[in-house]
Amino acid sequence: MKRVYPREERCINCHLCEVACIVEHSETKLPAAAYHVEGLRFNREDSRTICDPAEAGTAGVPKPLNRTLVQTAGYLSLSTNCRHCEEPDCVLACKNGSLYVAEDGRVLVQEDKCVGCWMCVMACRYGAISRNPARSNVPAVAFNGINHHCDLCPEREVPACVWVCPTNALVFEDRDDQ
Amino acid sequence: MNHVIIGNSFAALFAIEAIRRTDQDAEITVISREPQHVYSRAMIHEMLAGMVREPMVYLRDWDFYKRMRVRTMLGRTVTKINPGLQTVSTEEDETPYDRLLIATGGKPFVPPLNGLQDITYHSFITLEDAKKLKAACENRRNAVVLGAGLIGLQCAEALRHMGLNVAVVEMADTVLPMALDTESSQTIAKELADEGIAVHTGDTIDLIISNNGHPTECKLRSGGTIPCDLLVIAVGVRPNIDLAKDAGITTDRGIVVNEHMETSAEHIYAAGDCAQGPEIVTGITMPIPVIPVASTQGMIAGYNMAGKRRRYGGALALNAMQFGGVQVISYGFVKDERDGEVLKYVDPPRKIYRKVIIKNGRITGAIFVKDVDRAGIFRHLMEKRIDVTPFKEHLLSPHFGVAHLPAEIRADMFTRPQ
Ligand SMILES: Cc1cc2nc3c(=O)[nH]c(=O)nc-3n(C[C@H](O)[C@H](O)[C@H](O)COP(=O)(O)OP(=O)(O)OC[C@H]3O[C@@H](n4cnc5c(N)ncnc54)[C@H](O)[C@@H]3O)c2cc1C
Ligand code: SF4
Ligand code: SF4
Repeated sequence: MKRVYPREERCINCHLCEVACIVEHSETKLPAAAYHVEGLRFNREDSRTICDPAEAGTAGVPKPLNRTLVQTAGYLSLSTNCRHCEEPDCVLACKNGSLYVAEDGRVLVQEDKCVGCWMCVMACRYGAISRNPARSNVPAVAFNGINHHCDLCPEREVPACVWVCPTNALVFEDRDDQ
Repeated sequence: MNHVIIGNSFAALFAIEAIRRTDQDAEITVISREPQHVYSRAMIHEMLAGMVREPMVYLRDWDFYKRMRVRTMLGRTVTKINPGLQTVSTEEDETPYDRLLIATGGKPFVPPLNGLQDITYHSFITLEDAKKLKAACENRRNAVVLGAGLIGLQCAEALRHMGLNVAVVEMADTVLPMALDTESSQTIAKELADEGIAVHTGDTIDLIISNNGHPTECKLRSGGTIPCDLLVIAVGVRPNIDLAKDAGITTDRGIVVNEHMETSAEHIYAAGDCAQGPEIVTGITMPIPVIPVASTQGMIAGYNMAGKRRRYGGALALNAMQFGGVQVISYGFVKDERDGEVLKYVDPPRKIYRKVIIKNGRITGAIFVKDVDRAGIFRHLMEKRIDVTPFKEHLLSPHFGVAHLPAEIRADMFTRPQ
């Protein structure tokens, strides 16, 4: 199947893929609204440790939650997201069967079933899953949220991150036979 | 090929999917003591507390068995495996197999306690246990949970959420003595205290005082007495090996399996909590009773049963849990620091704690409290036995990620299909 592959030697650390991802998954699909209105529900920096929607926006700059993440070390940067693995560790670990492999091979989450146990965060060796605190199916649990990861942009032929990248540092290819 | 699976949980589920993916014509029969549709034991505390709707505990849609063309014998207990005849017996009949998977999971261990024989007590393993406990909670005020492992504490939290007074009694000096190290268990103990759960560590129940079959008080070894009108025994789960043992299959603590999930008997496989397979850090076999291991072993067993040779290099003990507002993810052996280099990052006001133990360049244990994002990269480093010496100083940086890994490991992870 076609997957998104980073080409780190071309990445210029511009984070446009993250912007495109956020806008594509926003309600309005307008960058300013996605960040300044919808974004108030999240805060990427804080969600790493606070993960409480009520606190998002109170500290630092509010920003919605991207599904692709530019990781950096010194001069190196690369955009990483879900590998849509053939035998996904996240699916094997999911506590209640919320994660599944769709017929077309995409690994997806049932957003109304996920209980935010983070077994998938533990299981995914690519660090591709983040915790979305803006939605919760078990509100009685503190800092509850749901699994948040790349869905390969179901409404598009080419995922938004790949489409936007100015240097072709992300490609959407079928490498299954290589 | 005629496949029979004893059990209907994580290991069985992923075995079924692997067999069906490999062989469209295979016959698959699932026999399970429990009558329910395939469900998650790890959801029963949230079910008990009424935090989730019942459909959220089932692992697959209602049409799962139909889609997978599985013949189900639910609510039926296997009483005997007959390796010579290649059949399994239930009370009513015999079922022949070409390949058999034992995925019988674990059963609760109940220690001898003075006064236990006089009362009705509760276990907390199955959906049925949770329903019984829920019914018993009506009009009860003082619950005592024996055992502060994962299951005991989850049960205690649920009971507390339902408004009962809850005391937990644990023989070891800390809560979650098997899963956590001292620092992290202290953080969890504090969360539990904040929730109003009384935790008695380093103690045990010496005597259960009862009246007409109902417990009223527990006398503790330390001398105190605590009120008790509901007792849950959650000291531990032991691999369910009786069927295998009686059939002459090699067992130790669990049913011993090799890298292909094969037992000592021909055509018989075992997977999940009942099995004792290779562990990756030590290389020796041990039971690792967690969901990802049960599922993966089940999948590997399924492929091998269906004739697709697959090897499982070894399991890593790993867990994710949450008590109060604190999430914890752990890998490997987090308490064993002997001869190891220990790296730590602590931020007490935010309850953040991260620790990595390195021996001979390889990570043998890692624990993440509160800041758990991207912890899974450590699983990769551990399972692939990657030498972390070159990038050791970055491991606990808040920004540590795949960009810090050596180029060839990055390439292996991100330039080919996984
Ligand atoms: C309360 C609780 C919370 C947990 N939380 C977590 C968690 O957060 N994370 C985690 O990783 N793990 C957790 N676990 C452990 C996890 O549930 C197990 O690792 C997992 O269920 C193992 O799956 P399994 O397929 O090996 O067997 P089991 O789930 O134990 O299922 C065994 C199956 O065998 C059947 N069976 C047994 N004997 C017979 C027989 N003689 N005849 C017919 N059928 C039989 C049973 O009916 C059942 O279907 C938890 C467990 C409990 C009880
Ligand atoms: S979330 Fe992780 S484990 Fe799951 S499919 Fe994506 S990359 Fe694989
Ligand atoms: S957080 Fe959601 S998707 Fe992830 S393992 Fe738990 S239930 Fe499954």
